[in-house]
Amino acid sequence: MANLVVPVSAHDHIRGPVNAPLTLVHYGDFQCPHCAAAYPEVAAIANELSDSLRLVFRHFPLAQVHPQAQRAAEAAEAAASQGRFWEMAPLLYENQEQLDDHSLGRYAKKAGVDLKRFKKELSSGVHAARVRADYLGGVRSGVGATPTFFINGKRYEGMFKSEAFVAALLNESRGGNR
Amino acid sequence: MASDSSIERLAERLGIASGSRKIGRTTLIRLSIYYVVVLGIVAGFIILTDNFRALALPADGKSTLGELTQGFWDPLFRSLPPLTIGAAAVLGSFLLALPVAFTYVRTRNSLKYDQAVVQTVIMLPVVVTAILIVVANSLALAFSLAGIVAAVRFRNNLKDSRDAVYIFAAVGIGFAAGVGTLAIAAFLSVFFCVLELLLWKLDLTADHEHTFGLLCLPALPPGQRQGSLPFAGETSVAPVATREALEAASGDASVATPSADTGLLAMGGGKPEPGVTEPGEDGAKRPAERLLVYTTDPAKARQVAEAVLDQMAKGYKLKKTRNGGNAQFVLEYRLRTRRKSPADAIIHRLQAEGTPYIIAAEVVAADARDKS
Repeated sequence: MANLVVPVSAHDHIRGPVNAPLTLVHYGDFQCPHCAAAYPEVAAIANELSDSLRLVFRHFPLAQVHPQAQRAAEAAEAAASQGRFWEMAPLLYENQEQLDDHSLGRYAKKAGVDLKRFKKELSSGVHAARVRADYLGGVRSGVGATPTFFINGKRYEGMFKSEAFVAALLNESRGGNR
Repeated sequence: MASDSSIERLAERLGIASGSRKIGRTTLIRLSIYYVVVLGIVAGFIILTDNFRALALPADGKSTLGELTQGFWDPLFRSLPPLTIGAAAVLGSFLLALPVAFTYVRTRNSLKYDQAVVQTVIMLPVVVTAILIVVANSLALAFSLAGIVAAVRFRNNLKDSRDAVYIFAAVGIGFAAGVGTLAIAAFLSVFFCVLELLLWKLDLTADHEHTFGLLCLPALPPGQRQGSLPFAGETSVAPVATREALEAASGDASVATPSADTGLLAMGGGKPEPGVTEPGEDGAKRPAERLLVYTTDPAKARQVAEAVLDQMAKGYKLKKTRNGGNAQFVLEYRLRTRRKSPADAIIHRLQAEGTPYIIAAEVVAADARDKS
């Protein structure tokens, strides 16, 4: 079983307490339908375990099959630069069939992002390197498909359902021996 | 520990900690009592509505016990206005929808629970029944209704695909009640609840679930697809590189057996290229770098990579092929770049020409240790 090679750092998009005993790293692609299905499950768990779970999102855009994924990831980064990543991400997943520049602008506005700055950053591609760094980090950790999850650094192989996630988190919190 | 207890509590709530799903005797008793009462009421409605025509007195005036009984009740039925019949249908559909909503609440865990679905399941049969009573047998009204429904654009993403079944059940109950078949509505309600509770309790087919087919993978050529479960024409199963492929990728070097623990697969001597020197041997002007090529097919990736490097690199040498886990492999080259073709240009071309074999490529300092 592959482990997470790139440790969670301050550069990551983190939701939840920094020193949480449980960390769930999500490698996702905003145009991936399975990621869109898994994200609400993960987000719901993060809401429930707001005191004990650290949810981390990393980009893994599969540009070969999802031509708009890279752009969407950069849009999420542009929102993140204004502290709105966690508002933007669900909008991208919920509307993944419309990820053109105009739509990205609409989602950004809905997420409360300064649109002028957002468009400037998106058009300049200033966040492409960050997205690529996430991607390469995923590749180093053996990520080859989306969605891929790591629980406390160990690759999660279960189903993308809340019950399965909670069972794995419970197992990890009990020592990860079962 | 507070954090531990929160996950324990959540697991308990979801029925994970206990290891089984319990419907509960109280739940069953409440549902049964409710259905007995409601079915009694519904039976009353059926007698009052569906059969009222049959209860009219016979024209010849012969009187039997049954006819006398019918005659006794006849004035009451004759006095029933259409409003009462319609109200009985609407009320019946409402009463029959309540246990469906209850079943939803009972079988959805706290994370999947959607209040909107519960309220929809309660309200939808009422509305559907009323609409069907109004439309009745009028084709003109039916077309009008279709026009109105088409004008009201409503889109909603359900959290769980199974929620759609509840919506259909609600529509079914409403429909049955609306066309005057409350018995069918009652049967649907009871059968649906029993079936749903059973499916939830037994958690049927859960053992057969797998993430296989629930992943988006980089596109692969048709010849490499193995037992694929394509999703929207874009997924396939990543090929697992064989020992032969690794040997081919590593040239004539010996290939070690994959190690699940370390992830280290192979140490291969590559094909040395003229002009490649170890760092520091030819001065410090352009030190050698390390090119990492991440691939699902080391043999094909090596062909592509070396074709690109032949054109763009000053020199290169395959140092080793590693197993990166999850059917991924890493070709490690010692690389010397040209001024005209910096590392970024090589990476860009590798990815452009290496699709779909090459997942990614990066250049790191030659002396940097690979953490993996």
